[in-house]
Amino acid sequence: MSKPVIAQSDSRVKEVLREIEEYTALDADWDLEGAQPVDRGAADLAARLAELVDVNARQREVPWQTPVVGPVADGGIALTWEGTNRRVLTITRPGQPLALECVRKEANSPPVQQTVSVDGAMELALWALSGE
Amino acid sequence: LSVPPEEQQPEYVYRRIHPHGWNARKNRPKESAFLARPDAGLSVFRADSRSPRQVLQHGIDVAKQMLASPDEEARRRGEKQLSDFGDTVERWVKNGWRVVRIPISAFTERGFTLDDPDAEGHQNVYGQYVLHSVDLVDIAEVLTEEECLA
Repeated sequence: MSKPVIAQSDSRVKEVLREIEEYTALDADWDLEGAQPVDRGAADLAARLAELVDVNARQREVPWQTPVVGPVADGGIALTWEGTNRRVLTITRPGQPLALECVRKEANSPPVQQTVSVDGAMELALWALSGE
Repeated sequence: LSVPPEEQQPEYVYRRIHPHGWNARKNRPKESAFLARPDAGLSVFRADSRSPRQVLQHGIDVAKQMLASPDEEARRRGEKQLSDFGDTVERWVKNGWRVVRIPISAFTERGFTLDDPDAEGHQNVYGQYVLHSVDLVDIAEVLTEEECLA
């Protein structure tokens, strides 16, 4: 019998959601290099991805590492998911409610960039977290 | 003929890292610190013409210049920067600003181009930031607080 999904989400992802929300309060030019304020839609998509990865990591028993959260100068949010030998960067962008830019990198291999759905980004994040 | 030693020295640029671009858990920049706006370059300073302290001071000077702007919103943003981080390099470092050093070759080998530096040693780097941001995080040499304040 499958476990209830949403109810399992707890404090390990709350800090990520709190940090994403904090970045939505940034002013324009917060970096002194002309950055845009963080876009609400981009923040919401990043939060949705974080919750999806959390829930699916539990279901598949993938080890959890809290992603690194960062505001992007164009108003997006970057989440970096890292396992032992793999790293995946997922970026949400203003005006792109369904697509994320992703870069996956395995030790000693060149980075690979692709645009994916939120489910695709979730799979990439789990791939990184499960990396040996 | 051998190349004179000074010409063998690798060339570097400094990049100023905002506290929101700093990964304190791993003591390195976040990938987002290398993601410039699509229509803009990545801001760096020639290491042979500016010190890490001067790179941070440049940010403080920009914030102070905003105070003199005729635009009220720009003045407010300048005030906020100085209120949040202080008006000295020492305060900026204490409040989480950092500087990293990157070989210019790390950019050029990945197809980036750099415009000519201005009188302050500032220049912009253009290229595939998203693709290479993960590598740049690993390549960037993190300067210590002491190095930033020297």
